[in-house]
Amino acid sequence: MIEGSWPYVLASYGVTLASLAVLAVAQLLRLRHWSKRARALGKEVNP
Amino acid sequence: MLSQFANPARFMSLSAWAAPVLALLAVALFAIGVPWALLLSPSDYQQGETVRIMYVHVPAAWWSLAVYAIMGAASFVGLVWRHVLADIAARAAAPIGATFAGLCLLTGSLWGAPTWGTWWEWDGRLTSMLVLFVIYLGYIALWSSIEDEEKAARLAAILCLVGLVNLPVVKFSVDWWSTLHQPASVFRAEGSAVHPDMLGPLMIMAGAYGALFGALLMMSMRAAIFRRRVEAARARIGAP
Repeated sequence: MIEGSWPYVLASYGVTLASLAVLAVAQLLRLRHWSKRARALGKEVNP
Repeated sequence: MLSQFANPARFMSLSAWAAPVLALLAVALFAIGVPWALLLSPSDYQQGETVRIMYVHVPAAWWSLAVYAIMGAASFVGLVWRHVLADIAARAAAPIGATFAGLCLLTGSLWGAPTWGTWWEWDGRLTSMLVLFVIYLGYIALWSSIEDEEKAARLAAILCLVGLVNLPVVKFSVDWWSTLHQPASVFRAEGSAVHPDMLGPLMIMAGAYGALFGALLMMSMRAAIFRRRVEAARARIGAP
């Protein structure tokens, strides 16, 4: 049986969860940015 | 029926509640799946603890293929029926699929080092997965490099449809060529070869990746629709 493999396992989970979290935060920030601008411009066009 | 759902206004009202629901579902499934995979599932009699990498590696592989297939379907719809929502969906899915493909390669490397004694091998499965990752990057680069969005959508859709050829190569590479990578053990004609104690957390993690994909896809599509509205409004009022 392969021994001493926990560092590989933890690195896999670390890189996966960190990458998915970064992707989710990036999408959330992008959505907030454009929805705010759309609302602001909507008010400007139709006050 | 599809044209009803493909209406941008209908999509915006549907995704306003569906995206947060899917995001919450993803968080819940990860909260169940990660401790189950890391602490509660059994280790393997040969691979020891390294088998736990399966729970993040395999769903990343499955979803990187599934996302590309979804992009292919959306590209086909966009190309044939010129539906703008299909183009938006295909473009929005690409960075998510690329992340899944990148994670599949990274976690595969981390799994390969202790089990095979190598971080990388130019065999059929690993190379075809790398090709899929490069196609994702090429697709994203093509969209970004062309200013005219209609032209970019058409060219990117053609690239995406051509790239579909790689999906069966990834799937069947382990059957067609002699590879270090093990053959299919879940989706196969004889049924799953994975023990139920391992299949449970694997399916929960696959569900978590799927829910996350759905949530991120909807969020990204919503952002793209808002951006188009801003650009259209700017053009109307003559703003820069």
